Amino acid sequence: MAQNTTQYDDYLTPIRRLLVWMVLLFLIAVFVLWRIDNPRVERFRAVIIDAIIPNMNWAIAPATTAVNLVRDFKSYAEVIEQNQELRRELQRMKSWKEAAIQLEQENARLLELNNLKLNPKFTFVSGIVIADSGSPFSQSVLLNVGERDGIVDGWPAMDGLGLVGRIAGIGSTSSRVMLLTDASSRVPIVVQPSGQEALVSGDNTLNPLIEFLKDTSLVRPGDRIVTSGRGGTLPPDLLIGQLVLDPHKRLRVKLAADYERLKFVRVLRDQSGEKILGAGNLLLPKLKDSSPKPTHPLVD
Amino acid sequence: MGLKSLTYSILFVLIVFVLIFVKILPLNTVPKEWTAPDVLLCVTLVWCLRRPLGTSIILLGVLFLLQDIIFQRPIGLFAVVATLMCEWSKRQALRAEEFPFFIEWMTAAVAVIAIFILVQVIASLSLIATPSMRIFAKESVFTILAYPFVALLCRYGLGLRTHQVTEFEASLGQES
Repeated sequence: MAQNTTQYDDYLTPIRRLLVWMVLLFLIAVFVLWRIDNPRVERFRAVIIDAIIPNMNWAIAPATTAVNLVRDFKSYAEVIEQNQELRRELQRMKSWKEAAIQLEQENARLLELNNLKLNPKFTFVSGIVIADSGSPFSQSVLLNVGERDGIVDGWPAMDGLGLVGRIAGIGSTSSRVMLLTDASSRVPIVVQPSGQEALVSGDNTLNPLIEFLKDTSLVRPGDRIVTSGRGGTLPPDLLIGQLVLDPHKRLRVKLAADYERLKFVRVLRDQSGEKILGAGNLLLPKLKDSSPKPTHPLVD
Repeated sequence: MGLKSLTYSILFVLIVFVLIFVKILPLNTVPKEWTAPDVLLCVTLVWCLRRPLGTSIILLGVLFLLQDIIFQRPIGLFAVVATLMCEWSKRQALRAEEFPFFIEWMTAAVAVIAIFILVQVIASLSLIATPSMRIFAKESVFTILAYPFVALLCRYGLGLRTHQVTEFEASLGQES
C-alpha cells in the first residue's frame, strides 16, 4: 500500500496545488463577475450559446423528431376516440364560428360609425424551438431566429393562440424566450370581463399565480386573462389564458398556449414599448425623462 | 498507459457532451414536478473516483462552466462548488488504502450533498432567486441513488474499474 501513498504524494505537488487554487479562484471570479455585472455576462452567455447550439441543430432536430415519433405512436391506440371527440368539437366550433362572423361584422359596422382607431395589427417572425434550458433554474426555450432576423429583446412570443413568454437574451442566430412559467416572469394583466388589473407571476409550475388582484369576489374561474400593456413591457390584449382555482384556493392561470408541444413560436414585432439598448441602461436610471428616443449606454 | 488514459479522458468528454445534448432537447417545456437524477454529475463523480489521475481539474472546471452557461444556471456557482467537491473526491480516492465500492458510493454521496448545501447557501447569501429547494433536494437524492447504476454501467459498458486496479497494472507495465 506504499503504492497509494506515493501516488497521493505525487499528486499533491506544489504545482498541482497551485493549479487547483487557480482554477477555483477563476471560477469564483466568474461567479462574482456574473453577480455584479449580470447583463453583460448574460450577453456573453447568449453569444456562447449562439455559437454552439444552432450549429448542433442538425442533431437536435432529428433526435427530437425521433422521440416525438415514438410518443405519437403510443397515442395511435386512442386515434378513433380522438377522432370522434374532434368531430364533436368541430361541430360545436362551427356554431361558434357563425356567431363570431356575425359579431365581427357588427363590430366592424360599429367601429366605422364611431370612426375609432384600434391598435395596428402586429406582424411577426416565426421561429422554431431548438433547445430547452435543461435545468429547473430557468423555464426558457431557445428559438432559431435572432438578431439577424430582426428580433429585439423584450418582444412578446406567442404560439398560435396565447402568449408564451417574451424574448430575454438574443444572439445573432438564436434568441431565448423566457416562458411565463419561469420564476422571474411577471406580466401585467387584465381579468375580463371585470376589467381588474393584476400580475401573472411564474413560479415554476404549469399554472402561474395571479397576484395583486384587488377584489377577488369579482372574478370567477373561467374568466379570460389578457395582457394589460401596463409599463410598456408588452402590448395590450394578448391572450394569456383562463383563470382557475388551485386546491389551496389560490388564483392561477390555465395558459392558452400549449406548453407540452411548443414547436413553432411567433415573435411579435412590438415597436411600442420601451427600448433598452446596451447593458448599461438596465442598471442606470433614466437621465432625462423628456427624451423619447432610446438613450445609448454611457460606457460601451 | 498514456494512450489509454487519454482515450478515457476523451471518452469522458464525449459522454458529457452527449448528456448535455440530451438534456437540452426540447421534448417537454412544461415545468416538471419531479426531477431526474443529475446523470452528468454522476458520470463526473464516477470518473473522478475511478480515474483520479485522468480527470484534470482544468477539464472539470471548463466542463462545469460550460454546463452552467448552457443550462441557464448562475454562471460559475455550480461550477466552483462541483469542481471543489470533485477535487475532494479525487483526493479521497487517491489517499484511501482500500477503496471498496461502498466507500466509493458514500464518498460520491457526501460530494453530492455538499454540492447541494453549498449551492443553496451561496445562492441565498448572494440573493439569487432559486427555484424551490425541494427540487434540488430531490435531485440530489436521486443522483445518489443513481450512482451505483451509473458506476455499474461504466464498469461493464466501458471497462472503468476502480483506479487502484488499473493504475497498479499500469505501473507494472511501466516498470517492466
